[in-house]
Amino acid sequence: MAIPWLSLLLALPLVGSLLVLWLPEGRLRLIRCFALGVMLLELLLAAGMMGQYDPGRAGVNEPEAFQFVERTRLFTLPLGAFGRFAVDYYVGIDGLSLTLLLLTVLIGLIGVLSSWTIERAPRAYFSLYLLLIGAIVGVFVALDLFLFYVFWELMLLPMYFLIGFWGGERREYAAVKFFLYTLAGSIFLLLVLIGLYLGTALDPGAPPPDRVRVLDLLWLMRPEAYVPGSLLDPSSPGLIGGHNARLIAFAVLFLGFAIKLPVVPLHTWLPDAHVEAPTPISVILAGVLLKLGGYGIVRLGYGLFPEGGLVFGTWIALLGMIGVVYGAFVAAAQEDLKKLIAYSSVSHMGYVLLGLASLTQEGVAGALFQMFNHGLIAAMLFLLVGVLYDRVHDRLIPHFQGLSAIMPLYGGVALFAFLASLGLPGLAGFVSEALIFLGAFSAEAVHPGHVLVPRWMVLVSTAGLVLAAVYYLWAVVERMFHGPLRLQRQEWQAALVDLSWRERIMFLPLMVLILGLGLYPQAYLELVRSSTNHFLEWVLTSGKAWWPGGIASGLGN
Amino acid sequence: MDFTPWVSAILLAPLVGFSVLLFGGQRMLPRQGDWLATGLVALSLALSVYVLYGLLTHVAPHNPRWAWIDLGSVTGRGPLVLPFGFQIDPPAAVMLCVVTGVSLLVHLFSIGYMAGDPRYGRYFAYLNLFTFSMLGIVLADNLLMIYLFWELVGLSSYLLIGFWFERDPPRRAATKAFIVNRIGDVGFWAGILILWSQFETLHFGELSRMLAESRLVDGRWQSLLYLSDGSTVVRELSSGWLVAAGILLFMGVVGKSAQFPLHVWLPDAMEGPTPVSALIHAATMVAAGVYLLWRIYPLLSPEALLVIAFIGAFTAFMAATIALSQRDIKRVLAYSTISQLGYMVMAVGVGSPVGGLFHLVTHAFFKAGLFLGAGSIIHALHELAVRLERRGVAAHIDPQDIGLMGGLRRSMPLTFVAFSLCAAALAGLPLFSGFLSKDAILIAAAAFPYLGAVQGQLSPLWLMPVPLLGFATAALTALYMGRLWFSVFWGRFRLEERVPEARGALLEVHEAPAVMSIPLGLLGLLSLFFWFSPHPLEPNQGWLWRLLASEVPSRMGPQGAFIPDYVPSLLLIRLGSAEFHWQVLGWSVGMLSVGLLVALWMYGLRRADIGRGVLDPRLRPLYRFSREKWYIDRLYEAGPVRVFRALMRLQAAWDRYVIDGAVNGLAALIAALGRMGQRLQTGRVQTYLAMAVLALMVLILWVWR
Repeated sequence: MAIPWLSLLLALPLVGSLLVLWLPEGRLRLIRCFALGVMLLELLLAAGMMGQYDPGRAGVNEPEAFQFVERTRLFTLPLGAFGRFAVDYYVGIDGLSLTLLLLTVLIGLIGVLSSWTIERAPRAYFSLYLLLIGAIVGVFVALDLFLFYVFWELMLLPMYFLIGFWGGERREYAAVKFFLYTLAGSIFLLLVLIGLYLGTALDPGAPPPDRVRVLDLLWLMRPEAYVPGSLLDPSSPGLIGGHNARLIAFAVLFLGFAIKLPVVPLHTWLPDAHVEAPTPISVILAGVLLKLGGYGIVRLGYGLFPEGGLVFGTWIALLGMIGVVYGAFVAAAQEDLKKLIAYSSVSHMGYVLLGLASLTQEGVAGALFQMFNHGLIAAMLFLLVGVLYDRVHDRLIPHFQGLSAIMPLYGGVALFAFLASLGLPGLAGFVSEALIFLGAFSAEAVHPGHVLVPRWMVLVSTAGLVLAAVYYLWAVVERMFHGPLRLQRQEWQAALVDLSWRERIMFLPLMVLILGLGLYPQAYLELVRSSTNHFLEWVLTSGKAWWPGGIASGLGN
Repeated sequence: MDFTPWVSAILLAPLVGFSVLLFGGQRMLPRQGDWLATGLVALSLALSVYVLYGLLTHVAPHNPRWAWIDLGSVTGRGPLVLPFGFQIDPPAAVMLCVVTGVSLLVHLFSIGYMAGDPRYGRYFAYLNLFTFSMLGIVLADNLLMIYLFWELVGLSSYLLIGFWFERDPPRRAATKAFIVNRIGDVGFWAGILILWSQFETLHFGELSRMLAESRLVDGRWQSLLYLSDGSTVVRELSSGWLVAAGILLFMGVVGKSAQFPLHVWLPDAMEGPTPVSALIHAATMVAAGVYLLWRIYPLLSPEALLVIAFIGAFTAFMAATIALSQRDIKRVLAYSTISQLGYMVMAVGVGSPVGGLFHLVTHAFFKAGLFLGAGSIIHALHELAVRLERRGVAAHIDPQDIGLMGGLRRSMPLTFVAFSLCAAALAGLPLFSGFLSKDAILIAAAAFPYLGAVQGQLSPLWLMPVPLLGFATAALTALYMGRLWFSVFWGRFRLEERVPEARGALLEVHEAPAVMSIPLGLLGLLSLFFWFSPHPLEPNQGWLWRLLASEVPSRMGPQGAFIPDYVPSLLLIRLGSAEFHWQVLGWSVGMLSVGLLVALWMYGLRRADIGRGVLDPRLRPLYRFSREKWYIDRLYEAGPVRVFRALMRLQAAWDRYVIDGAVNGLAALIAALGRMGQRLQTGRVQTYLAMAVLALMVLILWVWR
């Protein structure tokens, strides 16, 4: 019998989240080690699953090509005139979700190590933490949209409490802001789900008397899933206010996920949430949570409404370009190191949009790779801030100078992370950014007659490469790490000891991965390329077919 | 015979050294592992010589490639592969020998120069990292790989300029170098993007072949791509992109090879240890730009070449004028490097990449020699300063200030001889290597206006500034080298005059230990002509010229576009004639003599004060202009840097007050509405029910309309 890998991966943190509450509150060490054990086991499970994953199968819209699929009907809800609503426990992964799932598990484990310094209410903390990890895993594996939505919402609560209870001084403001923004995003998602439900034909698998509708993501990617003439029917979409309803649905979904990514100007929750969140939560937030936005845009936005990607390509690219350049400029002006890194995330996630909008092989694979790399690199960066904050409870750039002299190893690791983030060749970030640039710039040539990403936007975005060097090397390394030693307070010098073994173990796997994927990126690309290529073909062909205007004439692959 | 394993070993040996030293070697190995770093570079040199010998005698050039990134194919596209490959051909082999050779000598010199530094082992690790990255540039067979290593040499340069990061000037200089280089690299990258979108390959050979097959029709630039299924696709761009591609690729060269207007980082880079300046900021890395131009020569449109020629000529002249008035010995040499790099770039621009690469090779040796000579002097004066300080002489002595030097030939005879040989080569005296290569460049530059005219684009008059600046630079070079040479080695030791307590200090200045002086002496010897050509005045009789000339990538521009090669045959014969050659030679020697005589008169005979420099007060403004480096740094500080800071603050404020302000404002508004809404909470069930029904009706109407 096949091992239910995904259910195990999903259940382990959720069960752990409950079990941790049974441990005695006073036994801090035990609680930490328990959480660590759960995540280590999770990593082992993920590794075992990896061993059986077949990268040759594309997935994307082909249910039979998904791997480790499990499907059970959870319940059926009669809704009177609106049919009967069935919800399935339907999970499975393909190349689009696999690497992000692995990223979640890895960053989740490292986050536990970084949570060693949390001493306030540890049981509740680790319970919420594991719940958060479980919910994120759930989002990445869910193929039933209702299930997806449940996990999506489930993520919100632990995050709210983790920021609001364990955070910094303005934690309540930040937590509420995070909550409201994310809630707004979920409402957009919910709206589209309702629309999809109303327009959905019957479940193909169910016998005729059992008239149920199910929000099966893969089934909804087929035109026959929709009731002819319904609002979201691809062959004759309805109108909302005179506009194509499917395009509106795409835009609404995009908006919902754009908040998470985040996209300028919907990004201001991010710096606040980061600044107030405790280090491990910042790590999860930047390392994994932001990727959910990108994943949602890919899987749901482009997946369900591919013509939206063709129509709005230029706008998406424009938002990407603005994110890249604007985020970098604002980052350079920050005095709080954590805020600077938060804005650099805004800048780096802009590249994801740029690559995705191009609908080229390089662009799409690069966008996915960029999300993975940013997960590793941003996690490192926030851990680095945490190292400093743990020691002196301060992270304002002007309060430090010459750190490399007293913490040489820390200085070296920090430089490594900054170089990785600014896209130094040999490290993973370079490859994904390079692929995105190659793809985005070629978009006009690859799709003659249809502009998805205008060349000038790509050229403007290259400014991000210079600006990243400016804000890391000029604003941070030169001022904080180099120069004569000068600290805000004299007593800090004794507190600022170099990295401990726990911290070294935290950084090591990230550094190995960043370097390894920088030297041999094919190791990653091999896992995703059949899926990204298939995704691309699918978006282009069905996008063209479903575009009522038939502009597709000039659109090459 | 296949050299792939040998070449891999050449490339990887320094990487092994770097990794071992960085991860514990510097703590665990004896002598912090300097012998390991040096030994591995020596191994690379030995293998490089072997490879060069093989390629010159019996092995055909070859190009092993591996898929580095393979994205597969989709309908109508691909397969998209970005390979990693070695271009094993004679020019690469020559460069391998130059890089490993100079690197080895610098490693040896550093053993003496850096002795006692607290991060001695780290220093050798970085030197090895640099050597590895530079060898990567040399071996690269495609633009992506060259870009990759291009940035890595930038990193090692950053690390080594900022090696003494605790001090203020190095940390600033390091950041400046990295950022200015990145600006150039972004242009380089944009050029790569254009070529990729047109050809879907970045391999040098394939690019020039596909460019030759492409066509220019009515301002459109069309090329044909062959897909894996045998079908073809036409790629089309407006022809302006072809010109842009050349100029953008050249931007990378402008950054790395310190050409105007991005030259400002190189003089500051002198804050790094002096052997580093010799290796990275004089002999090899900064010359990588010229090597890149050699590789992409077939891709450069005539317009791009024109830009390259003018930038190169202007840089050569500008830097030479600045070098005239600097007081810091390393800065004089830094500006002279910029000037010489300008020569090399100009050579490519005027259609003589052979001259450019030839000058790169000769310059690598004599300029490394000059820097190591300077290092030897600085080392000696630094020791003297330490000794004086210990004796209680309070004067702060800058060991790099040529205003304090003089008469050093007596106490440092070996340094004097080696430095003089190298200086003569730099000034371009006959019998020295520099004469051969500079002569080659000047001939090409002199012919350039006529050749340009033949293309029917510009009259010779417009192109005249290029050779004129070239010849003027020749005179200036002799002048500033004469100034340096006279003021360092001749006359009285001015330190003794400035600091009365230091009388008799000249006797305490000593020659450096053998581990430093031997590399210096070797570089001095390599500045003589016979290594490169049997004829002291004719470069094209030598092996190096012949080798390069037979390997120069041919220019076969798109069909219907620029004249395939720059030189129409008839004119070539006339210009290549002995008569023309001797004319140019006469001019060049004439300019050189003028420069030397002025230097002799001013600094040898009149003993002009180095600090004030000029004798005639009417020349003061010009002098100040030179001393202030044409005010370019200040201009940048006042212009772009300030604009950047303002933009940065503006956007941060916008983000905080406008975007986030709007969010918070909206929240406040909703809270206020909520308070108003409280009034609707009458507590009467009927009201609630009525509102609920109303809401439901609106919803249903909206959904089912």
